[in-house]
Formats: sequence, C-alpha cells, structure tokens
Amino acid sequence: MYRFFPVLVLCLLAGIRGTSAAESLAVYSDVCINKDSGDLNGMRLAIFRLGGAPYLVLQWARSDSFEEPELKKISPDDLSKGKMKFSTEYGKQLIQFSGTMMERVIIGTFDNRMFMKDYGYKIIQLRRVEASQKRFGVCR
Amino acid sequence: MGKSTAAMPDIPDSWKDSPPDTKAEVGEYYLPGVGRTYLSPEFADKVGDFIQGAKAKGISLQFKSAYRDQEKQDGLKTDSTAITPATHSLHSAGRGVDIANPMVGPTQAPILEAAEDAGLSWGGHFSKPDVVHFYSDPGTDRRQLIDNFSRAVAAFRGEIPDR
Repeated sequence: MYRFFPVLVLCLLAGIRGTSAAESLAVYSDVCINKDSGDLNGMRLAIFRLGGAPYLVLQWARSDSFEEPELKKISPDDLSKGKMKFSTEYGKQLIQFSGTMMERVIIGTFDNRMFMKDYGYKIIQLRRVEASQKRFGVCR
Repeated sequence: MGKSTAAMPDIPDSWKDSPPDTKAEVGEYYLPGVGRTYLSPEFADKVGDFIQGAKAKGISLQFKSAYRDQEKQDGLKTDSTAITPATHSLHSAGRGVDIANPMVGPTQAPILEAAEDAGLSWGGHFSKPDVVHFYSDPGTDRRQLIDNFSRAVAAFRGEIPDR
C-alpha cells in the first residue's frame, strides 16, 4: 500500500492545481501599446479565491513594464452580484473603482475625474485575457 | 547631464555630406533610475535641462525608460494586425524618455513646466494619453530616424565599424 503513496499524493496535487487554475483565477486587462509613444499603457486585474475569500491583484502598465502589483480583498457579496469595487492610491488620494463584472469583460470607472482625464478614459473596459498573456495589442 | 560619458566615434566621411534628416548622432548618457543609455545629443541636452529645471522646483526626476533597441521594442508588440507602433517609437530614435515620478496632483504642473521650458513635448496630449512619456520629435521620417539612430548606436558600441 505504502508503495503507491507518493503516486497518490502527486495525483492529488496535480488535481488541486488544475482545479484552482481553472475555477478560481480570472484575469481582465486593457493593457495595450500606445501607438504614439510605443509604451505599454493600461491596467490588469487578476481575481482569485484564497480560502474561499475573493481577492484581486491590480497591476498598472507603464513605460516598458508593469508596476508592482497591489493585492486587495474584495467583497464576496458584491462579487456574487457581479459588482466590482476596490480602491487604489492616486497620488496621495484614494480613488475608487466601481464596475460590473461579466464573464468576458469588466466595465467601470474611477470616481476621480482628473484621473480619468489624465489616462484618457471615458469608461474603463477590461477584457478577459489569458493569465499567461505576454504580448499586447495597439491602444485604440 | 548634457555631456556624453563616452567619446563620440569619428564620423565617417560619407555622413558629413548627408542631408540633416539622415544625419545620425548618438551619445551615451547616465539617467537616474535607468543608468547608462543612448540618446540623441540634442535630445539629451533637453533632458538635462528638464532635470535641472525640475530640480530647481524641488523635484528630483527619476526615469523608467529611455533608449530601447528595436529588439526590445518589438518584444512589446503583439498580433500581426498591429499597425507596427513599435517601429515608430521615438524611444528607438534616442528621442523619448519615460519618467518614474508620479504624474499626479501637485507634482504634475511643475514637471510639465520644466519639460516645456526644456523644449520637450508631453505624451499626455496623445489621443491615448501617456503621462510619463516626454519626447522631442524633429518631424522627419520616423522610420529613417530610427534606422539611422540604430546604426549609429551599433557603430558607437563597435558592433559595426561604419557604413
């Protein structure tokens, strides 16, 4: 019996890894290449569950790379209703994102007009992308 | 800033008769946050003035990106339908930099003022704003500008002797 133990453990681990990747991670992004500057612009959100609680990782794309990721806890109630709310720092102010989350897209805005204007947003649309995405399209 | 940290190579005779838009010049410079990079000397002087101007306003500029060779720029690109933005970036012509300072709130105005005084343009005015990008566009053929600069960088590095 003990001869099969390592094989059993490996199978279980593979199963858990496969399940978590398939069911609890969703990445949404509007990261693109600015046609005028050649720089990466935009943001991406990775939403996942840890111990049953939902979290998100926010990452801005600037210049030729991504900024340090920010980890945020999100409300399971909001998430169950398809709502997405989180805050982040813009300068020394906290700005709040409010949006609607669907299977393929998150649509929303930040509650700071200056931020929306500076970054050229009227509305923010983050499309579902592969978690492994490494190449990006042209900003429209 | 404003001074090359390495000597300029001799300019090949063939370059001396070139029209202005094909003349390629390069210098190696140190930018805070980036380290050594290659820039057009004319642009580097403006960046030097930008740094000094911001410093006079109490802001220590840090940079995130400057010269990108074509290989690195192409690495940012994506699908085959892209309209090759990467091949038109002034970063590849030694004429674009990105700052690392936050471009928000009270720090934005003095940074923009210092950039304008130095003769730099701001990416915040693009149709898709890029608030950390500053550049100087001579208005000549972009593709040729990048080709000439890439060639000059290669010659500077000693990768090719001359044209």
